[in-house]
Amino acid sequence: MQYDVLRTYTTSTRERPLEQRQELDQFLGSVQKRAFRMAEIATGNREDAFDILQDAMCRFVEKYSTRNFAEWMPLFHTVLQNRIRDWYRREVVRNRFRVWFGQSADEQDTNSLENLADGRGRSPEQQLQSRQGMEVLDQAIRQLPVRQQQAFMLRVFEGMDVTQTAKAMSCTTGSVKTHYSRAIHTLREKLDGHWP
Amino acid sequence: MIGDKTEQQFIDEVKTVFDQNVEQIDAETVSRLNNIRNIALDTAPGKSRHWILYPAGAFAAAGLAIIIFNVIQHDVSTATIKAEDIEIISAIDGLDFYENLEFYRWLEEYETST
Repeated sequence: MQYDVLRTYTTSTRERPLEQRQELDQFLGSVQKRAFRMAEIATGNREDAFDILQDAMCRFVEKYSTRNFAEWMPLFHTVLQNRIRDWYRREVVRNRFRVWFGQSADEQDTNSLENLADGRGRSPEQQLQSRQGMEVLDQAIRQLPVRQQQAFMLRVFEGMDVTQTAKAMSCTTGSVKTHYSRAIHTLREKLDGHWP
Repeated sequence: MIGDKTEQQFIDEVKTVFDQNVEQIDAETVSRLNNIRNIALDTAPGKSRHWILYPAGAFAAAGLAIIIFNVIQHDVSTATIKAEDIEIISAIDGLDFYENLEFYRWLEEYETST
């Protein structure tokens, strides 16, 4: 009885069993870079990406770290994608305020491929040659609707199948297929002539 | 040209670019990511972090109550002083009466004692 009480107590914070902490550490260490880049691509903002990732990791540890190890990957991406979606909702509200205060949406738009090329005075080919290939891809992905972004990044970057992606996005497999197909089609169109 | 590539070729290339980009993440970013990971690891499972907000909220509410109380008190005393000022200024006795207050107090004490 006393042992059970002690065990319950020691599962909190730093006294969590060392083995579980190491497993969690390894798992989060293995996903952190890719998750950060996905959040950065989705938001276009480095600091927001750090915030989203920290929030997602804390939430994951808090809610799901006691679940089976096999479930960790889809669950982590579910949390991450939810955080990214929350960020988008807040952005929509912020953009409405910006419009009310006189800044047009056009002035805010710095995401187009044309702006990227003109702003730096380089052709898309030069960008690709100077390790900027990802930047072109970033911009193209960022212009996609959020659900298409998510479907594309989870399927292509994380190599998830349709069912896993549907779980992570909290939607049906049919929706995933539609979003993914549209994303691929749009990206091929947008990157045509900008891609090696 | 993308048009010449199959969908799978395009996807493979995109994935390769992303993988290379992830590998090229700089040391400072990795350090911040490690820090974030350690913060997350110290989060207790099944425990909401919102409990931190309860005492903070109570403290803020108490502070707000004190401020409002002080403002009201200040307003009341200010209002009282203003009323007194008006009373003094508009008194029939005029300001001479108030300038000789000490004399009248002495007179009152003297009459009481005798």
